[in-house]
Amino acid sequence: MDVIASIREYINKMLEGIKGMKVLVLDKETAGIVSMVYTQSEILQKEVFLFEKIDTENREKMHHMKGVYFARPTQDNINYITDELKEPKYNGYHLFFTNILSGIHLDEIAKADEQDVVVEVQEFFGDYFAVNTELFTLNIPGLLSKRSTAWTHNQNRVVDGILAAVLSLKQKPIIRYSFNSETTKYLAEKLADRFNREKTLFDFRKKNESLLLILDRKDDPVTPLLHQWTYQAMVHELCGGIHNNRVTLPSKAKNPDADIILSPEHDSFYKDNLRQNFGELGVKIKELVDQYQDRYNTTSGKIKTIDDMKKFIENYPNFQKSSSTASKHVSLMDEMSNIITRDSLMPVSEVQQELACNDNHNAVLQTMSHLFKDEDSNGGHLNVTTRDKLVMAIIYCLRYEAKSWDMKQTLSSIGFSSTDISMIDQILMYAGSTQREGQLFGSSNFYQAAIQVVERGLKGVENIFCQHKPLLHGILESFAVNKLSDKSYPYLTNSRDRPTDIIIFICGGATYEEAVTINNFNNKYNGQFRAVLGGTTILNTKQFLQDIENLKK
Amino acid sequence: MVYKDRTSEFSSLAETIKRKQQQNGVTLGKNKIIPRSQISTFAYAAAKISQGVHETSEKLLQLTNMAKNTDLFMDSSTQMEELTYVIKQDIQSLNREIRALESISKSSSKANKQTEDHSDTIVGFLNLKLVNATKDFKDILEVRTESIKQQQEKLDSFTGQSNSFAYQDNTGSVTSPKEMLRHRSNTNTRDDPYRFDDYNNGNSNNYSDEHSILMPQEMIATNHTAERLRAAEGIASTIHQLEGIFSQLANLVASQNDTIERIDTNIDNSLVNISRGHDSLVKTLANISSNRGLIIKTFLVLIVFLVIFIVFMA
Repeated sequence: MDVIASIREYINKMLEGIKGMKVLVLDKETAGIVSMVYTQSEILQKEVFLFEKIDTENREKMHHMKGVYFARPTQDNINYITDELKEPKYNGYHLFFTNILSGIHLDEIAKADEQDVVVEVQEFFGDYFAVNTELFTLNIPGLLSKRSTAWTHNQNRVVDGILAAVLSLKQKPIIRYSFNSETTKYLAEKLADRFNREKTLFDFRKKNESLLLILDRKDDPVTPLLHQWTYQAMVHELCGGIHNNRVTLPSKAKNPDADIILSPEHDSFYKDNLRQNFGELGVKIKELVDQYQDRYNTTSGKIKTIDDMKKFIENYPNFQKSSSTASKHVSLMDEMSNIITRDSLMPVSEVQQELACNDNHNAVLQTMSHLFKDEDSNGGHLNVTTRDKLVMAIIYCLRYEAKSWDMKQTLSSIGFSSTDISMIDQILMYAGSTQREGQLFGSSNFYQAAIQVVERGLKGVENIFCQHKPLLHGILESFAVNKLSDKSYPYLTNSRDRPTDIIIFICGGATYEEAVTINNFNNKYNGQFRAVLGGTTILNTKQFLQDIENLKK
Repeated sequence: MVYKDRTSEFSSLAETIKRKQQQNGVTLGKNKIIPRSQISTFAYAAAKISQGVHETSEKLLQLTNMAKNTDLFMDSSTQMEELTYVIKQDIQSLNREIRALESISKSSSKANKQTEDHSDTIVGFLNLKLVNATKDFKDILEVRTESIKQQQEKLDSFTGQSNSFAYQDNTGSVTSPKEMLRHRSNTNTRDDPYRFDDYNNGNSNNYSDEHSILMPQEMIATNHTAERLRAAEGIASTIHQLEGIFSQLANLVASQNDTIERIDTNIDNSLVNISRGHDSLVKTLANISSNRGLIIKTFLVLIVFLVIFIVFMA
């Protein structure tokens, strides 16, 4: 259950099966899919000497090269391919589609292939973006609800993406969805229909069924709104977002070459630390820099003999690599800590966590009113951005829905515009308590609430910034003890045994916090359960608010 | 990792499309030319024979159309006979070629068993095709005989005369049917003036002065009859020859049948072997499981004794 490994396996198989010089032709999406798991130099080792975009016109003719096409089976791509087949540019066409190719499209290609240049046509189900080993995305924002405009355009893409993910992980899942959500039910039915139609593809030897759990973002609107303190999530939240493993720092936005590439597959420091929280990360980065300094001291300085020179040259590439890694992470860290002090994120996050986790209404309201006035509880000056204030208000309203009127009054009194305030209504309409499934803010059951309080009292809170657990955590834990309610998450198809492999897909987008939850779950039940998380996109606060706003239209 | 190879689906699709296009008369920009060197002499010869069979069957079709035409006055017997001759030649030469092919496949025994099987199959297949074509040919000839008979009857009833002329002619002709056929195709080397005229002009005004003066109308009819008879004889001889070819082919088919039966028995044997293997596996499993129980019991007893020994004795 490793999505990066499965995509890499596909690409390996694709490129190693074809001997000789190759041109790899990609479309817009597959270029992202490939680049997230493979570096250019790695692909070069497989005798790929040229990369082309499928929509580039007037590509050079190269009859000594073999054309390897890796593309989604969309009408546009088929058109590009058929046009090119009439006037072949390469010696032999190896067509790899990332999903099921319809008979009509196959027919079109066959018709266009007048000169018998197509060598093979294959379906390799690498139709999603693998972010971490247990997290994938489809990179389609705005799919919060079935009623959104983006949904109608992209629903087939979502079904394709999930189908590909399930197939590439070699799973034969039973489907469960969130009871209160039309969207997940619709998607689940479409998927079941699709699975049924492509029955032959699922014809592999596997005894255990796995579970495909389709959740809706509206069941847990709080998680994408909170400030995150783990490395990957922080970068996504504070540094303008991670897009296909690339980060553009806001301070260096003008220079396109200054993009930072964060790939867990190729940056071991990042891989080890992407789930570390901010404090631990600081320590780790200090270690990295120390290590680098050690190396710097040993390599530079004393080159006296030929032997030293030889050693220096041998170590130089390694040294160079560690230097770039160190500078990359240090500059990210620098950027983030600047933002944290500038926007006083520490107290803001504290209030957010308090709101999300503890039922302590009056005290929280007190702190919030201080923060709205840009001052801390002791009267010191703070600098809270308007967005953070709005987000705090939104979380407050989600928790205390009955008091949302008072909160709106407060907001307008401190000078918020009516459009901003209408966001609260918007989000309550989207994810108010009547819309949600499952218990977002702790349990309504008195007994369980008491247990929670006792637990907290006994154990204490490890880190006040990381005390929030997403709803997914509860779902996974109750699944692990086989107590996930059939009523809240009904089965679409009946099943007999209890699956051990879980694929979770969140309509509307997953978050990095949930990815961390999945990772913890996998580590906790090592070998017993394995889970993979997918989302239509990966949300941060900005993206989530924007999607909510678009829902209105 | 799951993937699906649709290359075969694609190529079959491409093939059907190509065929369709060819049927519609659309010529393709470039025909696929397979380099000669890649094909073995065997495959080349086989392809040639197959093409020959195809051409012959086309000719047969033509012949059928003609034979079905029983119209008394639209006579095309000349063409038909020529065609018959050509087809006969074709079939003979094809038969010869298949023999040659067989010898080729036998002589090149250096190849492995699979290629040998393959070439055997191909020879068999070609034989079968040829048999079919020959059968068609025979049928057509029969049809033709029938139609000639009918025409003859018609003619008799019209002219009201027995075909004594024909008999006369028949007694006069000493040529064997085979020779007759040959004569018909190469008109230059004939020694019979009657027949010469017959074929050159179609009508026989100068068949015999006497006859033409005395009864010109009757004459034409008689000529016609004579011609018919000759044709019928020709056909009879051809059928005879075909019989020979048939018996040859029947032999071949019989030998193939032998091979097929052998394959059948082999498959049966392997089936029996597999089931036997399965049985013995099951037996082994039973053996093992029963042994396991025994071992466990033994150890249990041992352990109990050990415990007793340690607790009470030591």
